[in-house]
Amino acid sequence: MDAALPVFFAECGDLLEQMEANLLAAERGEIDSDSINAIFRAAHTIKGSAGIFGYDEVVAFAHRMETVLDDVRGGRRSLDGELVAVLLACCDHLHALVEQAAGSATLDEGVRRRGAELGAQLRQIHGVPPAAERGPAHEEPQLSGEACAGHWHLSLRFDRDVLRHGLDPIPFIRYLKRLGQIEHLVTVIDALPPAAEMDPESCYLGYEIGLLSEASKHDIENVFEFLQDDSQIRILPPHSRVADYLALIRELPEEEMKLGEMLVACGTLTRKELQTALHAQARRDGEAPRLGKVLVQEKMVQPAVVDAALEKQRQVKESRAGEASLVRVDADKLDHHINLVGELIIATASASLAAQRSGAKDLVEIASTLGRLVEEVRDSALTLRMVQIGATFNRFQRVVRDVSHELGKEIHLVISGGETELDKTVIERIGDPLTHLVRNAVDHGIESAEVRRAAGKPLVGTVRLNAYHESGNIIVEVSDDGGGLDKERIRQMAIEKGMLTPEQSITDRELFNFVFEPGFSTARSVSSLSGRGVGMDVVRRNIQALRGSTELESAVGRGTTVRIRLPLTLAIIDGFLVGVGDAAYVIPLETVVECIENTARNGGTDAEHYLNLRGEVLPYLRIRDQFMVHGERKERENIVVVRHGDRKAGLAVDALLGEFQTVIRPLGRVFDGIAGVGGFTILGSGDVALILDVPGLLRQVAHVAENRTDCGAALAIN
Amino acid sequence: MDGTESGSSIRELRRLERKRLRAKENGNMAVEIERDGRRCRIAVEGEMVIRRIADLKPQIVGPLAECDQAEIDLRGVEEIDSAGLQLLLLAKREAEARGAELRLVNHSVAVADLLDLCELGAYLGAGVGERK
Repeated sequence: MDAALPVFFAECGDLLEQMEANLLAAERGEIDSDSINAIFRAAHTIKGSAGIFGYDEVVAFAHRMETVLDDVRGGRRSLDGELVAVLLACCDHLHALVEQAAGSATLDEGVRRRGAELGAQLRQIHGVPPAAERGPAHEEPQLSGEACAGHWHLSLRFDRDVLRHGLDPIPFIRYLKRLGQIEHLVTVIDALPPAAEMDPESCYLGYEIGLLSEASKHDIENVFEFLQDDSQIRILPPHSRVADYLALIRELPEEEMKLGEMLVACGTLTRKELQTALHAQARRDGEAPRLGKVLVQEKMVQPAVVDAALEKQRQVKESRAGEASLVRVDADKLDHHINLVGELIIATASASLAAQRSGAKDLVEIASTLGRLVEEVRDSALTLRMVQIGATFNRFQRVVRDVSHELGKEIHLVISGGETELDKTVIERIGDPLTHLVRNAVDHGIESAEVRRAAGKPLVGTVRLNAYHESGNIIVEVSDDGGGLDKERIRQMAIEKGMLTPEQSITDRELFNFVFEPGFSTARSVSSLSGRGVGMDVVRRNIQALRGSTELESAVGRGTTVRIRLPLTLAIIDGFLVGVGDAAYVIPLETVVECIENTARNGGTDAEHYLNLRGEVLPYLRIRDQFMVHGERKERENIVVVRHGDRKAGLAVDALLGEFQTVIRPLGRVFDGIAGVGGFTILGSGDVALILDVPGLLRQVAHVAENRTDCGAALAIN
Repeated sequence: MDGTESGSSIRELRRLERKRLRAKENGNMAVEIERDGRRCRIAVEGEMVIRRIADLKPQIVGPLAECDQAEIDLRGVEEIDSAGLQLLLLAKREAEARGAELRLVNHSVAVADLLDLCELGAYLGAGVGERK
């Protein structure tokens, strides 16, 4: 029984998280019967499982919630803002109860009192007579007005020849996910002819897509730029007029009713909107009886059928995502496994080295096969650690809600790229910095409603969380559409603090970077949330500890974006091995751009530390000097050009030793102060090689460059 | 687990690996058909993509037209594009039109991923063949 306990607690955590997400959605008005059912089921499941383990407090409380939720489900009580607030508090309380059960501690007096209060509230709510008959069902839909859908609607019908031309629609649709979230998607197969006539190389498919995105119409159109010529691409913006949707229905080849149903399935039109619209149109066209009859029939038959179909789909999805294909594994076991794979990689490296030394052909061949397999094992082992960032993002719905309530602002959190995967350790450690950035955006980024109104912006502020892959890195963005940073003020403060001289001219980007310096705050008021000048430096330190970097973009009146760049994984890297004197160093391969020879021709002299890279001024750093390696400098040096973000510099080394897959081992505390080293690794020969911290070295180079260009020479960065 | 059992599973793995390699050599695609009267099982290996689709269509649609009960095993499908998806949809619709039972089983990651994107999981999912 005890073995099942951790599973119970993990499950409770998940369910409570789901419940919270659904409640927050309800508060935003995005509620349907599915999510109400999900909230109810969550409470019910927790009650059931808690009963098995004998956690009576949890059972009793979950039962009270369930009673009220049952009223909601049965339509006897509407899920309004007030009830959501109570239920969210209940959700927290249930969480506290479960946590106490997990800690096997006795009940805290405070928690007990809170429970009694909430219990009383729930009982009162249950006792209240059913909410007056004023559900949304009674509101008259406005035919000429806007549809309620808050998302874009895309109708795609492709030219028969797109596949033959090597254009597959699927990648385009996948790409849409980078612009936002696909709410619903219906694959239209009506154009598919009978088997005998069907040419498998022609494209008969069409798609109806509901896309929740902040992108402009132009951006969305651009996705289909290549297809546009010979395909029918219709893009309707959010809150289009019902009449526009009707026009769409008429334009497309499919039968009217069927298409209407698809729009409903996409969540673009509500069933009511569709019915009213078609009705009215039919009346005008004088064909009322036929269409009207169909509609009435549809009305009677359809809801049940659609619900059943939806339920079926949900079940299939759930069971596939659920126990059928998922195994819960202890994180420690996984870490142990990864460690072993790390050892395996080192062992393979020494085996292949030994094989090469022995000169035996078959041995070399075996070693290379082994190397390839180990590489595959490594890749698959690393994907085991990958976790989608969506769950972390969703947690911020609550943070934004609570903080914005506290501040009396109305703020909407938009999440995209939630399916982007990150290393588990990174996900765990990015939570705090993200919380800080989101709070900052809510507190300082978004202006008060009055200021927004005066600036002619929408009253509801938007904070966005976005994540995506970019060349071996993961980018996480926190942005707001607030007032932006005050450049002049940052400049003033930097000068006050002696980081800048009044006559020094620097780029915006460098200016914004000061925000990440310790003790730097531009907030005019200190609140309980942020603005005391601690924080951004901690954010940067945390991100740097993950071998990542931060950058900030801001436009006055338009908002601020903080971009966090993180490595895909922490444990293992593909490295580029270089030699300096007798020592070997590893440069992370994803940062290497190219290797060139350092000759007098491209201007690599000692005094300047700049060289001419095809006409570009490239600062460089001599590793020999950086780490004070003994021995004479070689006549012929090599330069490894490295890049991180959009900073670029050269690293001068003696020898290039080739690619090398390696496990990063952390350095001891004693070495904390050494700049430019990210860790160490053991080579196949048993020697130790330092792994260079490229972002750190680039910062150093940039710093040196700044000092030297005081006199006004062009900055070599970028 | 005794020695012979793990030995046989290794042999099985080797067999699969050889089969996969063979499929690769034969132009990245192979279809294996097991017929038993009015029932059949079709296993597709390799790529269900536009390059191969013209060869693939008769191999899949042909046997299906003569069966009342059929299964398409998608375990070995390493890659699938719109053309492949369209073929599966065609097969499914034809079967439904004739009242025959067609089940798509053992969706590979590539297939499951695509069905998920197109929200066709319920329609082309495992075991939905019995659906009315």
